[in-house]
Amino acid sequence: MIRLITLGLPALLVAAALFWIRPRRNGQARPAHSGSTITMLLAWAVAIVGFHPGVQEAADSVTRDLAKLASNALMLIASVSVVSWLMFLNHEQVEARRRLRPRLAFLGVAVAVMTAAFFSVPADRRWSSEFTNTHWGQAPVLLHVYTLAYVLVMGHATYDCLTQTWRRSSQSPWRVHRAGLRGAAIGCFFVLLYLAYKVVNAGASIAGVELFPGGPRCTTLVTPYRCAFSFTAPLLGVLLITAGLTVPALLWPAAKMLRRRWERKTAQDLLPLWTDVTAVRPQVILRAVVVETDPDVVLHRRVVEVCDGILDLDNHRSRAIERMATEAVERRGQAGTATGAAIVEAAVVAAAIEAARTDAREQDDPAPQATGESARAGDLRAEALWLRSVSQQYANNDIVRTAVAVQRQAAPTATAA
Amino acid sequence: MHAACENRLSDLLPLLPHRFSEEELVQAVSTLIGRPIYVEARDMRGNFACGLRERYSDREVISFEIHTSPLHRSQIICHELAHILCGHKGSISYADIPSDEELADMIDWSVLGISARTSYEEQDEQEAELMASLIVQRMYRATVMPAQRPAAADERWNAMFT
Repeated sequence: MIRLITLGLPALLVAAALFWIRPRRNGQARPAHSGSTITMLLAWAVAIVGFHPGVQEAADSVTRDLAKLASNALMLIASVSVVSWLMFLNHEQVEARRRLRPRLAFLGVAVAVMTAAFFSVPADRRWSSEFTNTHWGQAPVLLHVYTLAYVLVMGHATYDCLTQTWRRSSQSPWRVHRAGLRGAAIGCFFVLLYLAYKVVNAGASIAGVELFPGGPRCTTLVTPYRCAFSFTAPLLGVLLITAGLTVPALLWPAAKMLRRRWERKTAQDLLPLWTDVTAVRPQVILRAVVVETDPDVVLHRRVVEVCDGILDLDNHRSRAIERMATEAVERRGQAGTATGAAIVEAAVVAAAIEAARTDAREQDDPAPQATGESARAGDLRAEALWLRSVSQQYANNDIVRTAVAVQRQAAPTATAA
Repeated sequence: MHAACENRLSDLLPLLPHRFSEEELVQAVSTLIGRPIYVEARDMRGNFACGLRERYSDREVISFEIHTSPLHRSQIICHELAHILCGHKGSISYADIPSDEELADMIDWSVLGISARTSYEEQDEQEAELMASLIVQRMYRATVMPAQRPAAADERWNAMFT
């Protein structure tokens, strides 16, 4: 299991790095932070490989507990790669490099301190030695200095990551991004849990309390139970951070495709209303963009042309028709609903189109437009949704058909008037 | 015409963030032309146009119909801004406005030229509407897509997954 995870997860990270390295379509520039993202993913891949039993055994065969020094140093490099990634997201490249330099120096000092402490402690007094395992309270002070250096660098990087991903997760305009950043923040929490374990374990050992008994190797993800903190928590953390920062990138093309499909479908749904409005007000059509095939452009023009047409028909908006449609909507229990508002607007517009078609006399006191302000935030999506519901009612609702029939019978023509 | 509009837009966009509001757009155009632009909401129902751009020697004035949806108002404002960006002189003068139009009372006699958003038969109107559509399209795309070349930290965070 451990072997599988320590090889599988790095493979996943390398695949994620390759995804970021991929050539972009149409010569589009790779985002500025790509380099730091790739470095971060590869650094974590190497760090996790450091936990592989084969690697650990090979390192330990050189000198006792060398695997611990190697994997800890690799984890620190990986954690600083996260700091680097945050720097490049938050600052321009020059500024990011400037801010990163002291942190890299801090990392170098910490790794040097850890290495010096490690080699200064005799092999028979290191963590896995029988003496230290049984008399942790009497363990050499240098081992605690080692832990302190490790926790300081890792804790700073992880806390930085947690606060920033959490804060940004509420600011991103896209749901999938927010979910990804939250996942990454939770991953950081697990890494902090691991660091807290290290501090508590060291403190308890100095006090002579054995809070986390068990041998030096993990047999499963939670046995001995210290492995839940020492191995599984950081692993889960890395997994969540990786998934949080990669899955949204994988989902992005699908989200884009769904949006384009929605735009195409909505433009299609507007056709019944657009066709009839532009039949009586052909001047609202901008023929200069007729060749445009981007679905958002088509949708945008269709929405604007419907709005222009409806505004141009303003003088034919009948208050009598509006009243009739409102009463019919109330009778059906749809008053105060978005559908009810769309039915009334569709009825008024349909009657206005009919009035324009038959050259009816203009209204002295035209009915106001149903602004639908609550549903129309001012962006294309909100406006298109409103007009789509009006168009659907325009095409299918019998209240609208009645309104047209009433208009046809009632209104005298402008010439007759 | 499309290419010319895109070119003008490429002069304007560097002055704007990836996501920009109408106010920021008006400010950017004003900076570009070096004259203040005043935007006024008016009740223009019953008049011949739903949007007006008045060109004066020291300022530009844009009026838009208030009784329409927010997106439509944006389109009208962008249309009038497009006239300014395209350097249109204005196809009608003060004397051309029918005296029975309420607009005649709203416009200062010292106006140098007027553009009115009515139909797109004239080339200037076509060009302004096309350009307005390109601007509003940019505003929409900025809400659904991150910046291709993110400049600020917010834009870099939004672009991190693409």
